[in-house]
Amino acid sequence: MECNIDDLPDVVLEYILSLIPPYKTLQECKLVSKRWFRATKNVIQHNKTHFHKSVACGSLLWSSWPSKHWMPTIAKRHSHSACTYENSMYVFGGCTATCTTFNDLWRLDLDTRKWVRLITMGAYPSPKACATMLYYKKSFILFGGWSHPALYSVHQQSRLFNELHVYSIESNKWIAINTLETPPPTSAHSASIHKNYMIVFGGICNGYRSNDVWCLNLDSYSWHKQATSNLKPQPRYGQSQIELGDKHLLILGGCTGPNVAMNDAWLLKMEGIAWTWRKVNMHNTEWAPTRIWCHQACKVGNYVIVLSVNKCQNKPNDMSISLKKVTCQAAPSSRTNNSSPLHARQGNVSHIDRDVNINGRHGSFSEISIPNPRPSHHPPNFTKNLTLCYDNMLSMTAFRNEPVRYDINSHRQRQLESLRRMEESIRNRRTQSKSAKKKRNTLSIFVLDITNVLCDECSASWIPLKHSDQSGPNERILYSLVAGRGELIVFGGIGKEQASIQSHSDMDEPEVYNDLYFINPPRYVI
Amino acid sequence: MPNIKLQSSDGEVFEVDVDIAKCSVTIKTMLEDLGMDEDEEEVVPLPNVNSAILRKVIQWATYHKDDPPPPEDDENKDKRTDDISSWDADFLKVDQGTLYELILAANYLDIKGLLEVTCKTVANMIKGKTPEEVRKTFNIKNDFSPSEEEQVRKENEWCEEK
Repeated sequence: MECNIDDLPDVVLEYILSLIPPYKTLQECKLVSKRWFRATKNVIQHNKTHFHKSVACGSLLWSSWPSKHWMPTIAKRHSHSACTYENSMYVFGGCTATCTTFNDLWRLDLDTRKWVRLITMGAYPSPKACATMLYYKKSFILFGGWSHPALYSVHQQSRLFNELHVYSIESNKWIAINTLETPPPTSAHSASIHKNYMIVFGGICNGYRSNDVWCLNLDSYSWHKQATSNLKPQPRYGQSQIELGDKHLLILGGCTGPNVAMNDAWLLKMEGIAWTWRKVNMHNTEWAPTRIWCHQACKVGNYVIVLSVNKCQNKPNDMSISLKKVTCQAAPSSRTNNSSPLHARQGNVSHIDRDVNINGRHGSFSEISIPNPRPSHHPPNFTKNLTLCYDNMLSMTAFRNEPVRYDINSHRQRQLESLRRMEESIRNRRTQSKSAKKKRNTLSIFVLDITNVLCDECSASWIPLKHSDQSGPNERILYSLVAGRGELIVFGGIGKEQASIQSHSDMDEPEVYNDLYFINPPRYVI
Repeated sequence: MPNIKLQSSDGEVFEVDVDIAKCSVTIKTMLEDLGMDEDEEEVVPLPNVNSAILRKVIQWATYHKDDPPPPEDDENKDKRTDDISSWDADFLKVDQGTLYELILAANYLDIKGLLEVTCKTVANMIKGKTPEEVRKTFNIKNDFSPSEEEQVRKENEWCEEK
């Protein structure tokens, strides 16, 4: 008699099912027969508890998905918006290293790990970055974001949006929603969905940082600004917002000013006339990541996962070089006593590059825009140009709206100089790139235990984890981190090439990514 | 190299290098527990494996005898099913019945590598199929009543909404 698949023992069937990507196909295996229903259910349950357990003890593994597998593929980008639904991750917009913004929508099939560009219909959103996109009832709610004006329009500022769009997954259509009352144009805010409300917090509004809470009723599409307690988080942007059931949300990290990164957490209780903010007591802060802004956090069970550079990896040689190079220029300009080279470089970057204008930022950084920026021993060039963007992102000065003005002569001079430097750096790179063995700064996984955040004590604690693992992606920010089934998906972002040996090519050049990383628990053995 | 004799369920005896036979944890522990002396002309009976399958298993084990032992903690392996070597893929171009018998044999003999690769092959047959296609492929009878099926479908949708 021929052997049938149903002759296999349950353990073996479950083992086979556990090899299937945990998305739609596996879900549908429940429908095959009663036996398969039970087996599939066990596998799904097991996957889930195994994932949560692995998160709790921090035993998570990186795996990258090499880009050559995809045809066609999504362009490199950062500051995009990402969201999962069914067996897919959707990615909207974002921008390139030179801050060109997109309004395309891509779908990554998580079963096959293949990208598909969706040819959508309806009223497209503007090309933008740092918008929020959230899933609600078979559609995505897209709000806010920024774009910067066309290249070389010197005195234009970047644009912030308060556009609200709904993408219907089934009809593949964007719908622009017009509302009477709207929040101000906002970018780098955070948002979450609670029942039929989308709650938006903070972000950059035109010229200021916000700590307002706005609510969008997703049935009637009406906005209102929510009154909150007097004690509230400082205005900020680039934070993560984590949904904790219908009545609570958590704000984590963010940035209250160009050089002021926060690592606090706040709990918003959404009840009563005035909603109440409460500061979360953070424990084990010695195990906290170095940065939690522009690093999207993601909740898994009672834990929040944050990716950040490992503290002990955080002092590469080139940093000190760049510090030296930079401080001579930046020292007089930066008022804050930044010991961090990244921050010090901020000063450098803010006034040497022609790109300063076209990047059009918003915010308050006037104190370091020196009246007559001079190219010093380290004048702008193309590489610099990219560096600028990177540093912008680090400090989020992409949102400043203080156009720095130059007189025409120095502008011209700088352009010539920049061409010369570019030639030189290309030459340098050609000769050196092959030999340079780059030291990588990689992202590590940090886990915040929020089991007690809703208790009276309102506390959260960082889990002590070893960070010896180097298998993570290169250091980067403004990537997306979303939860799939039993795995986390990291996509895109902007990072920095570690040009540690290439001291001639100017410091480091930012790299924008379109690579995919998955964070999985170690495989369990049945 | 000393040899060992394995007897299949239908009585055929195979003479195999001990090291190859020991890739089966079942045989390995049997030899250790029983303290079988290697010169003894003892025959190990394998009542759960017929000769056709045992021949295949030995063929597989012989080819893979020099593989590095699988890591104790399976940590570095991720759940990819597209990493089946071309030799294995060719080896497993068999009818479904044989494939399941190989799985059963690998399970019984506790040969991790073979179990893994055979199960991956089956998983690849399931991937990307609708329930109906899965049933057809594997000749499975749908024992859900229409209302039960509807219920499961609803449950799945609800899972998606979450």
